[in-house]
Amino acid sequence: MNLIRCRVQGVMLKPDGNLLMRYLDPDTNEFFVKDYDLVVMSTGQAPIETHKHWAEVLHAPLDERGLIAGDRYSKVRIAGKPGLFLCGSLMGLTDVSEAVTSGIAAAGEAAKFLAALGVDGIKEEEIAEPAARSRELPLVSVALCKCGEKPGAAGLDYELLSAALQRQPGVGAVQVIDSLCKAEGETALVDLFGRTKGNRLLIGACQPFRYRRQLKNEARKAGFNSSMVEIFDLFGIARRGLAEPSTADWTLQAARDVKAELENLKFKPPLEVSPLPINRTALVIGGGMAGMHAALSLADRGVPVHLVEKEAHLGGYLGARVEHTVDGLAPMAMATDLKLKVWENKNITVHLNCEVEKSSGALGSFESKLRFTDSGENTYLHHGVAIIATGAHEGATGEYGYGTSEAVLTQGELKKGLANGEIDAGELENVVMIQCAGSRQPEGRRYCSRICCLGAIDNALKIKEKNPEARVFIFYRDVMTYGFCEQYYTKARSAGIIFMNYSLDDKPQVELAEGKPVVRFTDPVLNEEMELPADLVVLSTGVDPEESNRKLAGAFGVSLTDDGFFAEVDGKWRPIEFPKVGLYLAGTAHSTMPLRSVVLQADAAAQKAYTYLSGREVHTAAVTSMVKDALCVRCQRCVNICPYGARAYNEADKRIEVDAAACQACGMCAVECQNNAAEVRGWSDKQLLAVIDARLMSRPPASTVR
Amino acid sequence: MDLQEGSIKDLWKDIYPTGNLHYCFNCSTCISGCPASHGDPPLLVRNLARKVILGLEEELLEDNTPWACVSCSRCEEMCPMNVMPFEMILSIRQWQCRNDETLIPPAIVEIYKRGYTQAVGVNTELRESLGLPQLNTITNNPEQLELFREMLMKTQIVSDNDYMFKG
Repeated sequence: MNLIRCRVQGVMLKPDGNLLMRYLDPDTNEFFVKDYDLVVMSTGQAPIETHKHWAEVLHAPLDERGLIAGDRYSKVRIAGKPGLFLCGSLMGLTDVSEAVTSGIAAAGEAAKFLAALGVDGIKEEEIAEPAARSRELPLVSVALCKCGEKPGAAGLDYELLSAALQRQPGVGAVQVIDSLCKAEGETALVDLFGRTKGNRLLIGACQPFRYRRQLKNEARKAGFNSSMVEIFDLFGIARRGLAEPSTADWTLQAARDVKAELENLKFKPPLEVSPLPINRTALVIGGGMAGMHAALSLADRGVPVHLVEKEAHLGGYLGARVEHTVDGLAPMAMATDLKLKVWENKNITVHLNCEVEKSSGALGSFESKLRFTDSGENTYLHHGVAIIATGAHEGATGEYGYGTSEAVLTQGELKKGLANGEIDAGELENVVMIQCAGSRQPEGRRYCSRICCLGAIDNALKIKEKNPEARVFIFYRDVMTYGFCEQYYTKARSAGIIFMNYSLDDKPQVELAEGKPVVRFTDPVLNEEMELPADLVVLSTGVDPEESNRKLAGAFGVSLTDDGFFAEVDGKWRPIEFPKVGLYLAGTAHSTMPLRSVVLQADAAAQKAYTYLSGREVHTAAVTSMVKDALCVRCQRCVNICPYGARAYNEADKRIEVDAAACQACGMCAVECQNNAAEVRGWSDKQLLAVIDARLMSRPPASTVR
Repeated sequence: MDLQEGSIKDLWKDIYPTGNLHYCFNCSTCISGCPASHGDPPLLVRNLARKVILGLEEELLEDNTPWACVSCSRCEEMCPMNVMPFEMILSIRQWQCRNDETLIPPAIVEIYKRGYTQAVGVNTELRESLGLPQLNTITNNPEQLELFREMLMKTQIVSDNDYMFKG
């Protein structure tokens, strides 16, 4: 891939159909005129027309950006409009992850609002679980969804597929249903069960991750035990590897895949779903913006919260050090306000100088060991959920002579100096700011911290405001003032701040001449070597994750990213959850983000936690590992390898025991066990070998294998 | 070069004091389709803007390329930041003349020699190969060109500097 920093004036369509562009390659200062087959334009996001409609209906005026403006700190609330909440792209420019987060946060705000009005929550329909009938010979009913004749299904011959499946041993009836997700689907399943009295059900539909819960409920109502129901992505599975499938090819391949699913289902053991009582207490780790906000969100709904902070005071990095941000927020004032609310809230117990050492258990019944760093005392806490909001701090660097001169400092230090008057902007003649110091490079922080470009622009504007005669240069690799923050980049340029691009292989050099820094660099536009004596060299060092994350991740059995932040289970669809249910994530412990995103995540994490805390018990689908005692030699290798501490050796009974609440069914024990004594229910060797056999038996002819 | 010693901080106020220039973020839209960027040396509008912003007075005074602009205004239309680069080029020309009374812009010499600042009417063979009619230009019409030169000689700037134009 070749990245060229140049905008073109236009694209010309040549008679031969090629697309012609002329551009300047700034690296070589040469012009190129080139033909392309395809030109792809990145056109960004724009508000959609229907926003206008909603603004009118809801009497919430659109601002000049074409959006309904959120509250100052909360993206989902609207100032002066209680009971009306925003989510998704109506609140601004969003990616999938933020849209999902905002949906959860808005749902939480709506629930809080209704609760305050005394409206009861909606009770979930209770559906009795039919018996599993696992001792009977497998009799599989197959339901194939046509997905309402969606184009995705076009070309799949349902008749042929049904016939192929009907011939399989153990298959009772195969039924093609128009739309399983609609009411007719429910009737069809009832009918299917009534006709065949099958004991297992295989459903082929679209997007199982979206419909799994609904389809399982439908199946249960019809009479199928939910652990005996498998749902697979019919269209995804069928199209694999076939670029332009003919009907016959596609149907054949689908039949092969479905046969493997059939084998898997036939050997599936029944799983017991048992209710577990919920401890309605929440543990929030980290007393910064995210932690305090999440704690208050839960406490306001009557949930007892324990808020643990490792420092001697609440507020976190932002609350203690940042007075104003470039977009007009006042974090320190906000922190003061939150602190007051936290201390006043009778549902919140604050633990200062406190760290979480260990944690065991699972959703509804965690037990965590808290250690007080000042007194050295320990205490144990029982809680139903935990929210990790440990925050982050300004990055460290040794680059550009940092530490050798007082004139080389970080943006955080400059901000503080300007605020308390230790640095007089009036005396500054030349200020050089260097972005990405120690960031976005193989050594050090490999990521972009997202907030430092704005931080630098904020400081630079402050200097220019007090001393318009000062020359401020910002050396950057890419200006990351994404979204509506672009306006501050524009404002900075209009104030005369000079932006100077540099590349990783030609960083500016800072030398000290008689204590004063001299910056040597190449101007990328003129390709000219330049130097500039600077009164201050200010480094944007980005954001480092907390060191303590590693220990905490170990204590909770969750993982960190390679960069040391907590890793969510899915970056797009489950941005604030861990694989382990009952643990949630908010704020800069997750990744580096601006304050309003922190608040959004905190709201969402609290809501996610509350969905469990609002009930009395939780139904766990017990996909856990088990021990076949007769095969076990008590070597305890499984105990050592279990990342969740779910396995233990019981000395008295001389056997390995599994804590079903802690087990996350990762299967490490099954892999480690030399005797096949450890097994995850529903993933037995017998089952998997049958699936492999089914796939090998029905291998397509060699010519069609890719 | 030493930016502290070798540049004038507020040079832009002298040259193009509208403030528009500050919005430039060096995207090079102005040059990617500029007809004068084909010249030798090329006219690089973005680089001129940069020299003004950085206050590189000497380099700007010696720079002949602003005179190569053909006034097509494409840069002005395409500039995403509304810097109005064509206006800037005119301003640089004026500033150069203000600062150097002896400056005889190369463009005027070109006008005297060819009748145009630009190479209009030189690509006769290319036009012919493309089946285009020949342009009726003053360059192709020596009698008219001679009259045009006489007319130019009556202007002060040319007559004062006639040594530049003759021979």
